[in-house]
Amino acid sequence: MSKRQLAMVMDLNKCIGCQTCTSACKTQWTNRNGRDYMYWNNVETHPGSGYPRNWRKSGGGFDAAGKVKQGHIPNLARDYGVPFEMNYTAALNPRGEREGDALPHLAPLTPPTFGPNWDEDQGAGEYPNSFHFYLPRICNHCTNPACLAACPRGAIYKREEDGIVLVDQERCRGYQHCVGACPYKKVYFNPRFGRSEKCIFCFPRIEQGLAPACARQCAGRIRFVSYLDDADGPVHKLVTKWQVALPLHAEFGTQPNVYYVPPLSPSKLDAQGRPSGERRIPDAELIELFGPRVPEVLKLLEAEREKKKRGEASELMDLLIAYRHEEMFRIGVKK
Amino acid sequence: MRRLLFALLLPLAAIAADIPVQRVDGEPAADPMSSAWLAQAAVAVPLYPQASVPPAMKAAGKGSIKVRAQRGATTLALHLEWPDRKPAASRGVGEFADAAAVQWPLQPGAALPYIGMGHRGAPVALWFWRADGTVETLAAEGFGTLTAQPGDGVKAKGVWKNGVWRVALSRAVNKPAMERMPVAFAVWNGEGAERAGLKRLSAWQTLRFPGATAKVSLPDTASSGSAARGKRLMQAKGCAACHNYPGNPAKPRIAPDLSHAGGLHAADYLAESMREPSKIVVPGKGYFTEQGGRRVSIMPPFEGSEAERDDLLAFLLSLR
Repeated sequence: MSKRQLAMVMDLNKCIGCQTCTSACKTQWTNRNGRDYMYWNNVETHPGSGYPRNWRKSGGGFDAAGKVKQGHIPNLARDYGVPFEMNYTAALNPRGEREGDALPHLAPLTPPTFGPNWDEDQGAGEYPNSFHFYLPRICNHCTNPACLAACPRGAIYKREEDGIVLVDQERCRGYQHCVGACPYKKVYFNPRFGRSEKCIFCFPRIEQGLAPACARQCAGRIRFVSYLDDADGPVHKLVTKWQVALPLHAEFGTQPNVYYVPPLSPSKLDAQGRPSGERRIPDAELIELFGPRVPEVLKLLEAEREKKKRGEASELMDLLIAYRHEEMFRIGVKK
Repeated sequence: MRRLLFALLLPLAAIAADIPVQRVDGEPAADPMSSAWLAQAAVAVPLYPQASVPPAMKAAGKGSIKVRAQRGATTLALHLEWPDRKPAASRGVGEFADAAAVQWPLQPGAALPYIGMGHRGAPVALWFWRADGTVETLAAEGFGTLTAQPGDGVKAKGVWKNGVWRVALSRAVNKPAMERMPVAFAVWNGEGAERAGLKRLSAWQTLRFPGATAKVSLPDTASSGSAARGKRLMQAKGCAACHNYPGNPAKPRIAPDLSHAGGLHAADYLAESMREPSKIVVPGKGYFTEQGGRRVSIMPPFEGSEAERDDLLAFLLSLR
């Protein structure tokens, strides 16, 4: 366990699925050199297959005795999706090949069979009670990382000063035990360099006092970043004081450090089209992801929202609204 | 020198094959398919699945590797040959390549390093070949410590044909300081996702250099005890509570698996492990505690009569 832990809270009530975080991460870190297929940050539609496909059933994490489980390594084409090569030359070059007078449509050269967001916005349920929400995911920089436990070489380490989990590129020999063992499938093998890589919580930005690119670029202002033990930081307030931010799949046993404020939803409609008072996103769906405290958290959020509606003060709502983006981050704070 | 040699050979006798090094004019052939290699008689060396530390192989699945050795004017070369139905030559996401390694003690003449890549204070050097074209010199002081070394001119070439990998590895060497040199082997089957500790390995063998005194008497280190009595003692002395071995219904994973203890370890190593468990500690998680920077095995030293110890040894040596 590290001395301190930087953590992130994502408010799913505000995520609009715009993928600005994904783009920020990709252009910063993963758009070349064998990383093209990786999404250190992705936003998936839930319910859905997720990215990589069916990661929630891919195994890994720890068993009841605390022993790390191996899990499956996803398949590149079937589970991650091979990045599309597009027919730019033919489609965009006016002197290129033509079918009759028309240029060919811009399209992937090989018909793709899977990719991140393959089932975007599909969700589940029947109209008018169909539902979905967005689940943005990065490495959870776990307190008890399964990737670290699975590496036979000790090539993965957790930084003392902020708990960021990193793969030592000098030590890694590309065995991929970490890839299988991470139950969130947030470690990736780089086939070009033959080593594993993962989200680095933008540590070069952190060291300059800046929030990770995904959080700073977030258009919906859903991401809070601060130290867990910093009582003045938004993460501590949401996780410890208000207890409205919950870990994802805590039962995997890794003690993840990304927390989620579960999404509220409008009422279901009955056969006559009248609100039934039941939440559109079934509680069970959220409990599966975020654990048994979901109903109580949703109730608290609803109550505080009502207060705010009535014009009363609500520290929680003010926090979640995040009037000033910079107040969502407290990074350069020495303990 | 002769005394040193004798001491070195002592632990090897029970399980070591004697691999003769053939002197060749010029240099050994780089091509593993060369008739200069294939015409030479090979020594078969048994390989056992690595089950001492996780991630471990299933105890089933012994293998074998054929070894040839040649020495030219300046280089020492080894030729390895093993069956593999399907070659795996590339690495990718969830894809692993076939590989082989040759292991040497870095301080020949001293006590032999632990067969699993050496132990603290007893490093090994490795020549590593992988079917994706990787050729490396590595060093290690036990499981998990493998570290790439600057290139020292190791060359290797592998050819897969008709269900058989043949790999020739060579490096320039000075005149060997000893007439015999300990050496061990490991093979990975990429198709079976074998990498790291998922491998088959041999016990320490000896290379016999040209001109070595042919008759160094190899002392018989096999135990005079009874394996049948030893097997019963495994229960009585509590070994069965932590170690897995054929016939132990509990299949515990608290300590190294002993399913092939006799195939991988010499009698004196096993005896020393019983007498002084913390002398060489297998670095598996939970196998030891760290006390003042020293690794202390969780196994208590053996308590019992000499006859009981010999019976246990006889049983362990029978596990091959």
